[in-house]
Amino acid sequence: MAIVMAAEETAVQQMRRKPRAQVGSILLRVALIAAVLYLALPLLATLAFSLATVWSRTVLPEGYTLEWYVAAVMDDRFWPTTLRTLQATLGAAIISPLLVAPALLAVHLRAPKWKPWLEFLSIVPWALPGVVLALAMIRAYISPFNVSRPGLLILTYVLLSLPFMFRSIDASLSAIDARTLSEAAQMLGAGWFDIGRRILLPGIMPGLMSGVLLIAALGAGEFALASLMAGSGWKTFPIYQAQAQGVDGRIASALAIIGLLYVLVVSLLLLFVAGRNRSGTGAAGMPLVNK
Amino acid sequence: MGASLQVRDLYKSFGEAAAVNDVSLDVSPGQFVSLLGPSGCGKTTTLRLIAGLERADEGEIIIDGREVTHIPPQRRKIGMVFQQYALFPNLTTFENVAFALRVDREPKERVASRVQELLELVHLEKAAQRYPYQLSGGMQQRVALARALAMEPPLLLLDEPLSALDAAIRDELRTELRRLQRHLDLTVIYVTHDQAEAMALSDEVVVMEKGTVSQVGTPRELYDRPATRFAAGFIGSSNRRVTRVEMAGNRPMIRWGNALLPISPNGRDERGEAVLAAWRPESATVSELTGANGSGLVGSVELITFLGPITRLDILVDGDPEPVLVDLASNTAQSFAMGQRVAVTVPPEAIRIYS
Repeated sequence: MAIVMAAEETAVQQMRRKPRAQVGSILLRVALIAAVLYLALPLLATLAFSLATVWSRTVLPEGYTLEWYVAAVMDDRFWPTTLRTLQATLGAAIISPLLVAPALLAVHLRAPKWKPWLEFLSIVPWALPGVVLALAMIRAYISPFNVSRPGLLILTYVLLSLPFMFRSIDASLSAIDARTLSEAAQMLGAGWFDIGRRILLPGIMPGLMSGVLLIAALGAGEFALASLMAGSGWKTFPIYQAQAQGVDGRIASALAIIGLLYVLVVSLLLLFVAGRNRSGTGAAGMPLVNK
Repeated sequence: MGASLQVRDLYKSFGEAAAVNDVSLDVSPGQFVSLLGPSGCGKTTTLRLIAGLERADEGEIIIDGREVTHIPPQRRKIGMVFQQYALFPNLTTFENVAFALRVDREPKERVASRVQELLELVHLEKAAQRYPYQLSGGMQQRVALARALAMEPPLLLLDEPLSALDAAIRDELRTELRRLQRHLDLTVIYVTHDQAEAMALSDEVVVMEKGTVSQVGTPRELYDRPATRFAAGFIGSSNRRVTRVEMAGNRPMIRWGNALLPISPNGRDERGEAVLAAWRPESATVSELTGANGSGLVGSVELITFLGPITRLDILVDGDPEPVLVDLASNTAQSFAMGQRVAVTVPPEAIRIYS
């Protein structure tokens, strides 16, 4: 009898707990839906506006069309500005790893105590206001070295890419324990060229690719420095996008969606690279399974 | 054929602390020598100095009569297995083992046949195309070993290669390692903090403490006759007390609790001096207390621990706050019970005295 009563009490307690748990679960779902809507609505509105024939007095567009996309892509400025953005990001994507990778390798292999300082240096450009950075770059490179405006923009993108490239390559080097692998390769007779080519470069490739893709995403949205540095003489895609807003909002929306699609593709590539890195190699030599 | 190794007065410091201080070794070809000691004793630094991965501040390293102290590791022709194996994660088992051969630009046929031979030696022929993350810890260790042996090095260095493995795999690989060493007639320097491992594997053990060599000897010598306080405490278990030497007539004795135990005369006059006395648990015998045997160590059985073939008795000896440990064959130990009053007899020659 006592056991039955105890079981009944437990069932009652469970029933009392259920409404509370349900309320909690409902609140969580509401919060999640609200967050998704908050983030998605502006994008959905932009997408709808870019596809609308007319949309001024109704809740949803009166009709749909692709003509604004066609107009955006057929504009004389579209391809040149897109190409310039790609050139700038490609230039930064080549120079940035060439600067960061050897520095990080040296720190990992010889001077681990210097890593915090290197990390600090990599984020200094982000600590400066955009105008200050732009003026500093102009003063440093245009007068003494006569660097062109496009070249200056590439160098600036290199500076802005430093934290991404640093973190990505540093993570790869830490994951493979570059120091121990280099020592193992040395004991097998390898010189530094062989160590770099056969072991270290393949090891940092995932981090390097991640850094390059982040630079690509950076270039697609970077407006302020591009307009300060390159100005009207060398317009990039974000500058063209900003100018289109003053002409026709629907074409500007179409350009925004095209830019977002570009970032989406880059993000998917990033996820692909990161996924391959996680499943493909694991940490160097560490016994992952001790059977 | 393995190489000979001489290390003379090696010294290496990091900042103000001397990690290796005046270390000398003499290793004959084909010997298996372990560097044994606690963490921070300098054994791994000594190994890395021999490998060339650290540069010695002073001293010489000579391999097969050739001084290599200032030669970079790539040119020392030494094989090395690291504590965490350090397999190259972007290469398959085959390519890991072939690495040294590829660096040396060996022809493809030679690479293929040598790698096949090595994989057969470590029983990993079927794992040739797997990557390190697909291998168990024991398999990774074998690959690391095969890789180190690829260029037939006359000297092989191993830095605690079994420490990351569980006990069963460790025992199996320990046996295999010894088998390989004998089969290939390699000279091996093996770093470990595990004394059972060092004793089981080695022809000779170098016990290290605080960057210096405490004692060098065969496992038997180290166990039976530890020459220093540190070696006595580090190797095996022992009962240790700080006490004084007293004379009963012409016979030297030491006080242990309320009892006086005879010790072997060692030719030195240590009367009245404070010394460390030590004896092994298995060297004593225990008997039921009678009128005839009550003059030595007498006490009560405080704890009986069954360890399989051996049973350990913790005996609280009269006048001593700390119990002594005595190991008996389990058959013999059955006749004793908790709380029983017993007499412990320690042969004089089993008691080691350290100044």
